[in-house]
Order: sequence, then structure tokens, then C-alpha cells
Amino acid sequence: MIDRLTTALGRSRADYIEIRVERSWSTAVTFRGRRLESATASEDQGGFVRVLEAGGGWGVASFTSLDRLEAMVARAAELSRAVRVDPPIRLASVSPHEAEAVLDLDGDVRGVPIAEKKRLIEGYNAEMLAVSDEVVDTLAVYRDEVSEYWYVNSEGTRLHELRPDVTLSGTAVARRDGTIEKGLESIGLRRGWHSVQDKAAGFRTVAERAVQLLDAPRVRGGAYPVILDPELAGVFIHEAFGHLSEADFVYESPQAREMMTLGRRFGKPALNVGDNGAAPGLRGTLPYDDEGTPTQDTVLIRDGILVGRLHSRETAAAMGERPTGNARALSFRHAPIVRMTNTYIASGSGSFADLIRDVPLGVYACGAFGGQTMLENFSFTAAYGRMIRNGQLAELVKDVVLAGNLFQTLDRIDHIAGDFRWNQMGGGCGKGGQAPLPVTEGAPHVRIEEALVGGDVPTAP
Amino acid sequence: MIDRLLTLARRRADGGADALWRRVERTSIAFESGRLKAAGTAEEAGANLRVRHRGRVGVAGSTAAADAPDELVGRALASAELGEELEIAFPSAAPLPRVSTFFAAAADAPLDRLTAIGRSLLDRLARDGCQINVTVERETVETRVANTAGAAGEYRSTGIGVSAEVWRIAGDDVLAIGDAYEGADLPSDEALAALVRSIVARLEHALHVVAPPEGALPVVFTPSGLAALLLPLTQALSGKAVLQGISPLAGKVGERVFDARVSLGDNPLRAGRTASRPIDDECVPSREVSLVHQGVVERFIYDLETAARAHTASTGHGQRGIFGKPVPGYTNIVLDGGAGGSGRVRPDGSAELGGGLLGEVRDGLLVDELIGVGQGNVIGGAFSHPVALAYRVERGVIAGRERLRAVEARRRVRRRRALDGFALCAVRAHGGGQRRASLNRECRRGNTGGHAGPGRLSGRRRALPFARSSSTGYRPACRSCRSGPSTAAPRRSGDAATACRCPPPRARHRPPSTRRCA
Repeated sequence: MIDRLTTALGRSRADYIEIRVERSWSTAVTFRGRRLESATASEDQGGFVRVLEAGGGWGVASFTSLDRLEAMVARAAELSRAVRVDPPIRLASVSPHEAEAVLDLDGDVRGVPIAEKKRLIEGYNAEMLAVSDEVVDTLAVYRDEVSEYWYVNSEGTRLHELRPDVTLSGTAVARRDGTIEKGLESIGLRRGWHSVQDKAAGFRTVAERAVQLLDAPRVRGGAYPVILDPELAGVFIHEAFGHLSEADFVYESPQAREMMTLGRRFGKPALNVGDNGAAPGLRGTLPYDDEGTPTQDTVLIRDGILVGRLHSRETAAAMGERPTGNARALSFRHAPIVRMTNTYIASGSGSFADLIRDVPLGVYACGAFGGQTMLENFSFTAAYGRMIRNGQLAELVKDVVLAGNLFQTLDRIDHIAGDFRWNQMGGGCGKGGQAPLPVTEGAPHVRIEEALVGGDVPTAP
Repeated sequence: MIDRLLTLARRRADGGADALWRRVERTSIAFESGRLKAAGTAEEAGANLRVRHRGRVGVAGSTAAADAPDELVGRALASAELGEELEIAFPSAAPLPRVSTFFAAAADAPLDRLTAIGRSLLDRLARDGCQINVTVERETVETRVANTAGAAGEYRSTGIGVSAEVWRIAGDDVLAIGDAYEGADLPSDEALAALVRSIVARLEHALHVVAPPEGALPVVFTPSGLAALLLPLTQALSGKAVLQGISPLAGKVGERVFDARVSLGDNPLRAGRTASRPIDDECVPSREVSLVHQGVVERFIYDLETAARAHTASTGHGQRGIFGKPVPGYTNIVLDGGAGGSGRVRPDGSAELGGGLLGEVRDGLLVDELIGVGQGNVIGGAFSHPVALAYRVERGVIAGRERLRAVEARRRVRRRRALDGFALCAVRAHGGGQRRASLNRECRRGNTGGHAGPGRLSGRRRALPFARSSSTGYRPACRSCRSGPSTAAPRRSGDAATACRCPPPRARHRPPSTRRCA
């Protein structure tokens, strides 16, 4: 394949050209309640060409029929020439790499019969259903994929990779009269079959929690000291800060550059944030990004000060900085754009107990149903919460939604515990129509001295 | 292709088969910060096959099916071996309704024409201190469905998407306001003018930031702001949710559950909409379906499988991509207009901001976009969302942009009292091609992929009027916002999320919004 792509490159006289080809095999088994909803196997293949002629814009072409490779190379070049860009698009230099990277398949899922996969997820699903008669519905999904990946560009980079991905997810729906509550389990790993064994406990726990939430009151809305558990803290830093650190947000706008000036204080000295695409074994981990740039650990906030951002080759050149290996594409259907990989809040010191000891009334927000940012505003839905009263964990509460402004909230992080962990969740990140891109977040417990929590409205009629 | 698959499937599967083949060609251009930066093309084709063998149903999909049809049939049969027994009945041949889905002018529009549309928007939206992004996209789709019971259908469709957004950053105040045209044909000059006017009107109101009131307030939702109310409703009206026992509307057919002004339907036959089609993805002829009529629940939507399980007939809502099995899905959701509002519609068909409902609002809020809609326990009905873009309404007129607030409602409020006014005018305006708001489509690649339907253009559109809620709770988002001008910048948000909590394909004018889905 590499030879075929190299030949196609050689025929083009474009100033810069890159070709990606992917072939993926995936299976998915879904249980809904006691019923097997589906068991499917899919095969997907296709290519992507991107061309940059001198003074031209990006010409891109994607296709599912590899017979069209040469035609699409020509078409992308034509499109690049049809777009005149002044000042011209430049790419930061990256030395060429040739690599054969086969990630640890950890039990190649392609060799496991689909019936085995069905048995595995059926067992986890049964764990949820067995918790209580009030668990009226479940959704349990096993998904795996192995992608074979080829990348070449006109600067001499030649990559061939094999990338595994396996995810388990479980949703337990508990219902009593008109009240419906959910619990969610999600496990995602850039590994294989061996890594998803013995995961029953997590499924059981979320079903138990869904039932417990039936009795839990809604959190009373207001401003509280909030302690985020590592899962929610990770989602928070990804959503609330990570996206703003993606350079495609700032590179074309002088005002945005000013807002994100390196050296600006974003938080208290305890705050250290980064993105590490080279961390071993995580879902956001890859040896190279989709422009052939090696991934790395990029420090974004050091001791509270903004010191870095995430780049593609284009954004790095435009801002006079170095590429960070963060140009990622969801698949051959998409152009690479600046994305996170494995984003983290670095470990601080002390324990969870130290964080809540001096909190008279606060909220411990745990797990993540989801998060969304719009520029500097964000919203997160925690899976559940516990009230903190007089320095102790108290009752379970539900419908914990955190909302706020990034700048204010980061500045209000006043204590970071020393209990860092990576959250190996499934799902992924969405941006610019590309979702779900596999990413990971990591964090310790984090305290925000004051954050807005949505919940019951005392004043509503 | 599809005939070959069905011939092979007929030989090997004893209970029949159906298949979908789809080919998509897409051309797009993107202006970034006022400059044309990229042009792209995409070609995709793939097939999805379902077989019934020994009473069990299996599904497989591939973009490589043309090379190895046997392999696809084999994988569908392997999937059926695991499947549960299901009495799925593949429909027989039936006449198809006529619906305009293909417009030659759109299909044949050269790159220059798309570029000219983009440039005309740039020229009209240019403002000092603002960045403008515009994308123009054209898509042609060929769809063919057939089954072993003799039903077949094929149609071509076109889609044009034009989106524009204006960014204004002042200090830490980031404002981005956009809107989009979407239709099966090229936009008329009037439609583009309406798009410009929609953005400019909201931008101008947004430049003035006002202090918020507190407590329970009347809230008027724009069509795009209505997602928080509509999403639980559309989820609850899916036959799949009824079968799962999680629809609060199950068992309520024939009951008046909503205000008599609420009527909701799904219309795959609306001319010129990109989600329209003469036949669904399982060979069931399309027809308009009323789901809620004058507050009374009339029916739920079903595809073949959910219909078989519920012992009823498919409503023609089978939706399938290349990967994964068909699921029930909406086409063009239409929330009918009521008698509220002023009925003021401009000659170009666009509605004024507020749909004419603001006149009755003494002190309230016009909500254009909420953040995080679709997160959490949607079907439960309660919601609580910070406001992305909303305007304070005082004595019937827009006073200025709200800062970050939260809008929420409890279940009781939403079901019984939430909607007490609809503007008829807005239905006309927004049914005509303005204001895209794509409904949820599952984002797992296993279910849709980039080519599950007319691609990015093709979320399932709804035509919605403005709606007013009389009793939606409302409170300030944070203490520090109560005094002085805001540094917070509301932003436009998305709509529905999905079972896997991933974002749906988004309207292009909302790129800065991002989600982590777990």
C-alpha cells in the first residue's frame, strides 16, 4: 500500500501533498434490557488526499473507492489551485519520519468470534439487570475496532500503523412511578480483548446508583464550593480549558490571540495542565498525528500561567510556534484539525479528605454525563453528587449541573489533591462535525472555591 | 449492486432480506476569517444489508461491498446467528408518493457559483473588529432500497448548506452569532438576504449587555432555542422508547397531555427539504404523520423492527446508514403554529426575532440557544441549562443580551404548562428553509458514519415556531455577574444529544461548541 501511495504522490507536481488510507474492521454488540438488540460487523475503507499548491488554499478529497486514488489526487490539486490565499498558507517544518507502528493489540479482537463478544457484554448487562426490579431498562454496548492506517506525504514521511480500540458502555435506567434515573458506565481503551475482561463491578455499581438516585433529592441550585472527582475534573479541563488552547481557535483572530496570550495567569500557582499524546496505552495516544508529526507531552498551564497551546503545522507556522502533534482526523472522511489527545490536570498534594475538611456546605460532583463548552462558557452534567456538610460527605443528590465562565472558574481552583488518575472512558470528543474522537482525560480531585450548581429552583412556581 | 446483494442473500437466507445502497458526492468551500481557505470534494458509496434466517435477523454494512458482496452476506448471516427471533415483515411493492428532492440547479452548480454565494455573504456581514466564517456545501445523493418481497425505490436528492457566523471578541467577551440556510435547492437572493438579516439583528441586540432579572419569568423560545423542550418530546414519541418502557407518553394515546395549541407531526414529503424522501430506508412509502394533535397524543413513530415488536405497522420512519441496523428516526418535524403572535412575516418569508410573541411579555427572556441540551436524563423531562444566547425582553421589546444564565423546568412544568403560545408566522418562515436545526442522529460510527444519509447536511430538520413558556424557572448563573457589565459571552449551542451522548452532526455555524461525550 505504501508503495502505491508513494507512486501516486510521485505523479503529482503539487508543492505539498499528503495521502491517508484507512481500513477498519469493527464489531458492535448491543443489549437493550434482556434483549440482544444488534450484533453487527462492519468494514470501512477509504482515502483522503490533501494538497497545498503555492499561493493556493487547501484542496481536499475523500473517497471510499481506492480505484479513485489517482483521480482524487488530481482533483485535490485542482481545488487547491482554484482557491487563492493571500498571505499564503505555510506549514511549520517537521522532519520526515518512516515508521511501522503496531500498537499492542492485547488480544486481537479480530480473532475473537462475535459470539464470545456477545457472551461478554451479556454478562455485564445481566449484572445491571440483577440489581433491582426497579432497573427497568438497560443498554449495554460492546464495540471494538482495529484500523490499519497508511500515511505518506511529499516531504518523505511514510507511516504504517495498526490501531486497536475497544469500548464497553452500560446505561441502567431505574424507574419508580414517574421518576426515571440513569447510571452510566463507560470504559474505553486503546487495547484489545484482554483489557475488557472482569469489568462486572462497574456495571453493577452504576445500576445500584441509578436506583439510589430515585430516592435522592435534586441538588438545590446555587453557588457552592465544589469538589470535582477525577472523572469530572478531567472532563472539566478538557471542555472548559482544553478547547480554548487549540490554536485554530486563536490563530486567525488578533483579539483571540490577545485573550490567550502566553504568560497570562489562568489560575492559582497550584494549577498545572497539559496534553500528552505520547502517554502510553491511552485512547488519545498515537505515535504520530494525522500530519505525521510525532506526538508529545505539551504543557499548557504551568504554575497557573499559560505557557503553551496545541498546534497543527498550519497554526504553528501562523503563530511562530512549534507543532505539537495535535492535528487529528476522525477518519479518512475528514481533514485533520487541532484536537486534544490525553488532557490532564497534574497531581497536586494531599488527599480528598484534606479538600473537604474546611468546607461547611458544598457539593461533591462525581462522574460525567457529558459536557459542552461554547467558547469560555461551559456546562457539565455530573452523574451524581454528594452534599458536603461540616467537612463530611452527606446525602446523595441528583441533577447536578455545573455551569460557568472558564476564566472565573479556573481562577477559583484553590486546592488540587495528590490522587491523580487517568479516566479510561469510552465515547469521545466532538468538534467541527468530527465525533467521537477517542481522547482521555486525567486529573486528581480538584476543589473550586465557588461554582454555580444548577438544580431545583426555589423560586419557581 | 443492491440486486446482486439481494440475489445472493435470497440464496442463503430463508426469511428474506432488504438492503440499502447509498452514494454521496459532496463539494464544499470554506471561508475562514473572511478568506477563502479550502475547497473539498468527497465521494462515498456503501451498502447495508439485513437478512432474516431461521427466524433471526442480522445486519452488516460495508463501504467495500462492491469488491466482496459475498463477504457482506456472510457477515449479515453471522450476525443473524446471534440475533433474537423476530417476525419482521418486509413490505411488498407499493406506489410511492411524489416529492421534490432533486434540483438540477443545485446539482450542477459549479464551484464558482458556490464561491460567489459565500463572497456575497462576506460582503454583507463585514464589520469592524469582527471575523466572519462562511461555508457553502453542495451534496448530491443517490439512494436505492429494495427487499426480497419485491418492494424497491430509488431517488436522487440534492442539498445545499450555507452557513455564516460573525465572531466578535472584546477582552474576554467572545460573541459568535451565526445562522444557516439549508434546502434542496440553491438559496434565492431573498433567502440569503434573510440569512444576513437574521444574523445582523441578533448581533446588534447582542452588543448591548443588560442586567438580568431573577426568579420565574415568561420565556419565549426561538425555534433553535426550543430544543430543550422538544428533545424529550421527540424521544418520548419514538416507538422504541415506548417498547423500552421509558417513554412517559406510553399508554397515553388518545389522551390530552399538552396544551390544545400543541400539534406536532413529521412530514417526509415537504418539498425542498433535504430530509424529504418518497420512501424510507426500509422500503416503506413515505407519508405525513401526525404525532400530537391539539394536545392529544395520536401515535408514535416506528420502523419495521419496532413495529414488529409492538405488533403494529411501520410509520415509514426507518432510517439506516451504511453501518449498523435501521432505527426509527424523524425526517422533518413540524411543530404547528398556534394562534399566538402577531403573524408578522416579511415579504422574504423570514420572521422577526421573537416571532411576534414578545408583545405580551412585560419582563422576560427570549432564549435563542441553551448549552448542554441533551446531556443527562433527557427523557425524564426535567432540564437545567445555562443560556448560550438570550435576550432580555422588557415591555415587549428586546432590551439587550443576557449574560450566562440558566433556564430550567421541572417535569410538571414542561408537560402541562410550558407552552402556552405559538406564532403561526414562524412556521412559515422557518419551514421555508431558514434556520437549520438538526435533530439527533446517533454518532457512533456503527450507526451512521459520515455517509448515513445526505451527509453533513442531513440532520433531520424540523420546522418550529416560536413558543412561549409561562413558567420556566430562571435564575442568575453566578453571583459575580449580578453587578456591572458582563465579561461572559453567551454562545450558540447545539441541539439534541444522543444515546451515547455524543454531539449530533452540527450546523456549521456553531463550530466553537464542543462536547465531551462519554
